[in-house]
Amino acid sequence: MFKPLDPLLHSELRLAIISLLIGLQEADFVFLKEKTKATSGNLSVQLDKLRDAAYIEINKSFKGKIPRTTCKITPQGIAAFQSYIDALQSYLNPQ
Amino acid sequence: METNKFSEQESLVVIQQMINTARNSLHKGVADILIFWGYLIAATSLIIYLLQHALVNSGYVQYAWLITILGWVYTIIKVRKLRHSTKFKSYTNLIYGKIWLAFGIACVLLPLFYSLAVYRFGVSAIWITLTPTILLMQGVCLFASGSIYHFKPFMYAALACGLLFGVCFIFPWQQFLFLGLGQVLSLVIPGHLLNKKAEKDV
Repeated sequence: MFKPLDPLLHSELRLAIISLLIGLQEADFVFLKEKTKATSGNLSVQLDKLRDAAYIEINKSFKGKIPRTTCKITPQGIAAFQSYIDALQSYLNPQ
Repeated sequence: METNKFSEQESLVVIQQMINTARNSLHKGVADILIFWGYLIAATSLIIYLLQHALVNSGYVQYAWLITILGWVYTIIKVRKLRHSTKFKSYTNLIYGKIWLAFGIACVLLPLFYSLAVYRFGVSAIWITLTPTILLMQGVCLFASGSIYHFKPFMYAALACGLLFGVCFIFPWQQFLFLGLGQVLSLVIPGHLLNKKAEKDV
């Protein structure tokens, strides 16, 4: 039986963001942009979507005079990622 | 990277790639603190070794270890700087930092307890085990660091520390020479190699 895949995570960029954040304590916007090779605008939109779903926390601060945005996965985000992996397994190893 | 929907196989590839990226990411200057300590301990132990062999009354030479306070000052400044400048914080970096912090604290506590033991029991021969013990602990920390970063030079460095641990017991009067050599082999060289690897990642 196939389990439904979370539509919020079943998108290449959002899944990449969550997969990066799952292995890190936190990451800033520049790091996520470099590693996902996304454009600033697109990354910003997708981060907002993940934050609205409470999958990530976004903190805005200043590093000297330069604004800095850091992202961190939440417990809900971790749970959603685990459910996504479970669902993915049902597609890859159907019983 | 696009936001379009994609197949289950493709999503697995993305997850694998990103998890590997997060795991293998190193920030610039990750080994700066280790390298500084390596040079500092190597220089101090060489100075002590030379003074011990040049002076008749070499008892006060051990106070030269107070130079290592410089290492703690540098470590505190560097950690504060890194906290503000890194683009990410990873669990591997956190564990790596804690391992070396525990080692540093042990290196401060050990001589203090040795002094206490000598004062209490009067067995001054115990001092001969201090340098090899530090080298052995350093080897353990290097092995752990090598394992979390999948970085082979740290594994070889751990092996070098293990060998020097044994050599220190065979040639106890040259211990500080081996301690200095140990720092170059286990902190300075692998530290520069790790920084080079991190430069490529940035």
